Amino acid sequence: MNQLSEEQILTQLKSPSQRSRAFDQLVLLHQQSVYFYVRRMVVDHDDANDIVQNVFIKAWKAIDGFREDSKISTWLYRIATNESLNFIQKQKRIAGIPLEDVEEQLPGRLENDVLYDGDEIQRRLDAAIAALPEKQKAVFILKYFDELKYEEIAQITDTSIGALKASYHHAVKKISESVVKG
Amino acid sequence: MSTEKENSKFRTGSFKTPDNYDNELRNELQLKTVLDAHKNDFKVPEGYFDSLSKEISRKKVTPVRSISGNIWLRISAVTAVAASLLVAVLWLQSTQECESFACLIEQTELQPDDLIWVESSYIEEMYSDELGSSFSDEEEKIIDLAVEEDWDLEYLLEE
Repeated sequence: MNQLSEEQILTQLKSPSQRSRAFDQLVLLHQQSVYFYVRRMVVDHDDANDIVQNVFIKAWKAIDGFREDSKISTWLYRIATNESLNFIQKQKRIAGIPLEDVEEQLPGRLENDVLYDGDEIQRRLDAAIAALPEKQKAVFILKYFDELKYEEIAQITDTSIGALKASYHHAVKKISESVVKG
Repeated sequence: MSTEKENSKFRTGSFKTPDNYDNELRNELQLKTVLDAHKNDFKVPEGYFDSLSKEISRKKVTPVRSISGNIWLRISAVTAVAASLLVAVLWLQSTQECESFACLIEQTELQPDDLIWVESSYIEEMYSDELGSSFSDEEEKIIDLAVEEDWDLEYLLEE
């Protein structure tokens, strides 16, 4: 099956007879980027899997409300960000684990994770990312790993570009201190 | 011939950098090197993305049925299921000796004329009402039995 471009998908999404197939194409086009973004946010594969499915089902239910004032990928990242932040908040309420403990515990957890093959530096890096405040973490991942522009991240997170730049700078500083200085 | 010091002055001119900039830049470059070497160490099970797209496609055509977040609706639903089970158990106990409709009628105060109300549409409406029914437990046993066994009520009433 040939993959359609985002423009072709958008056109077909407006046609009731083509909508379902077009949405399947949209999933194929964006599932990996959405998954790895969510996975970096929540770390665990099973949690990420649940969240990604929710993201696309919510997108499907709300597709009529998509106003095309942003790219559809930006809209998906926005839903994914909200879902991930809600999940993290819920986890924190349930477990009551302080962020510092996350940073200490995560390298050990990752070492035993069969779906993770990072070395020691990578484990320290991912632990440092995991320990960032949630919104700072989202900004860092979107900017660094997903290589989005500040304008797009501003649409996703509803934050001003100035605040995003400051947030990214703080995140880089914290991660550098954790990883480079060890 | 210019000295190394003069070259340095020529390169920076009168532009200054913030305090500690050199250290921060060095750290950031080191971090970039580390990150670039480890861009994606998160793995997924084999064939995961094939199954993910299929699962999403399946879920979008078969919406997951869920009770709304309203706690009272959840409590009502749980209570309704528990009550149905209780009624079923009581009915089984009370009807062990009854093999005829007349016997069942005798066991309750329900009059045959009351059964005019026992029609599927009415039953559905009654059970969908959050306030529940106004029938007694005994009457509900008969109604449950009537619905479950799809009795010909008009025929019974004529009798």
